[in-house]
Amino acid sequence: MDPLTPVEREWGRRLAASGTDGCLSAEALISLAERGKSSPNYSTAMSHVARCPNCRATLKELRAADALRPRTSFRFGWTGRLGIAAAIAAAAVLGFLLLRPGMDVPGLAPGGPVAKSVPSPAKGRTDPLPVPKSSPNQVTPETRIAKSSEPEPKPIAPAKPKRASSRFAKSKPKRPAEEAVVPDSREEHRELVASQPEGFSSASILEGEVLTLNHEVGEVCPRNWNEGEVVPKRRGGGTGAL
Amino acid sequence: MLLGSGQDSEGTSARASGEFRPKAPPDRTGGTDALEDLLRRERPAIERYVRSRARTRDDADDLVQNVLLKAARHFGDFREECPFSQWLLRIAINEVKNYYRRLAGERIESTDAWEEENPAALQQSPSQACPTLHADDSMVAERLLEAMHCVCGEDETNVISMVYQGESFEEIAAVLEMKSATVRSHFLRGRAKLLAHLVANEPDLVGGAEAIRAAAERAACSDAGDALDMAEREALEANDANSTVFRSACVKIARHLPMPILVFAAMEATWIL
Repeated sequence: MDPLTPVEREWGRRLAASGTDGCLSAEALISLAERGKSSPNYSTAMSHVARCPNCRATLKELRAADALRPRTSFRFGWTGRLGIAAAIAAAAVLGFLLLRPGMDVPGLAPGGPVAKSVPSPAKGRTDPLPVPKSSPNQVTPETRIAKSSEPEPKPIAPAKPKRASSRFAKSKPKRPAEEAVVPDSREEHRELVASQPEGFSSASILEGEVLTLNHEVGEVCPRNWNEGEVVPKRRGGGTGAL
Repeated sequence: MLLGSGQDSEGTSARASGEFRPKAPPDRTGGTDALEDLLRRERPAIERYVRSRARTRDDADDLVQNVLLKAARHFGDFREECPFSQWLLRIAINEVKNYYRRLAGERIESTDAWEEENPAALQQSPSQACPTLHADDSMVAERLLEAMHCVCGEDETNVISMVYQGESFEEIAAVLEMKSATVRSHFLRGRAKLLAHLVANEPDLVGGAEAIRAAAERAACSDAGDALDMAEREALEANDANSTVFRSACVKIARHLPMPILVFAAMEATWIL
């Protein structure tokens, strides 16, 4: 700070000596300390405070006392409230994106909470199921005969069965092709179907699984017909085996 | 709200006129009526202050009761160096401070204990005590304030007044709710404007034209790094208070002005004559 000149110090002494007239009331000082620039007659009151050492000292004491006030309760300011609102909104958006139907999330069951709709089996149904068309690459006895005169084809990887919907394509667990029991012919397929118990309706035979109505739990269950074991369908993502 | 605490029956008229005038002390010998009257008048403000700061209503009642008891006990020590309402408020502030410290689990300091036992000490600190108001003090102060209002803004006037009375920039910043850098710039700008105005228009407040000329000559040959340069000398000749060069020259001259006691003694002698 630029040091005051002797003349200025003398002015200050005289200002202080003459400034004690018309001191502010206690109420005016309290209002000045509490409301600051929005207190009534701020300009007049502050110009007196600037001159009067008494009122200035009392105002300082008021502010010092308020500075000692213990803060026991946590109060949210506007920034705190905005921060919390932003965090909740971000969590909601993130949750929506992650748990959206059809989203693959590492660590979560594929397919999410959407259950695959399966037609209810018609009881006593005996007519054969439509046989899936064999792909051109698939080797059947007929094709073997037809192609016997042709040079030995290169080994072709078994074709993946055509999926009903690309939406569920990802939800199906990948199964090695050699594990799938694929009927070689229409006759074999009919035998397969006929060997199933009553209640059998439809299945992706190509993948070695059938659906059956589990009368005990009243649900359609996947059944591994190779093992003859009925596994109750799990709710909420338990249909991943289908 | 610029009113004092009229301390006797005449205080009502002083309050009505919106002006505080020092009054004769209330009748303290038979003074229960006078004291009761004062306390009844000032109690609502004190109660409002304490209630908005205490945690519970019971705490607030206890604090108000302590304040009133201390005021009654030490009423004889009240020297009227400040209005009664401010004295009562200072006692209340001390009570609230001690209350906060008790809440925080602090041990109350000995100075507070001293003040608690001596509310008379809350009236004014010895450095602030100016019991006699000289007419010449008021006259000089009034002329200074007029000059400040003439050339400075409101904030600059307030800042200059407080800096001249020895307040630091930080203290002023707390009182005026400003940054201390803002306070400093207000002071430097306002001070230059005030000194330039006084040198150009009211030289008697700074010792007269002769004293200014002598100070200018000393400033011109100063080796302290604040010597007047050529432009500042020319600005002094032009005597234009609105020129920034003239203002900086006046700030340098003010450092070389003669002893103020001699200056004001000569000035007062001139006024008397």
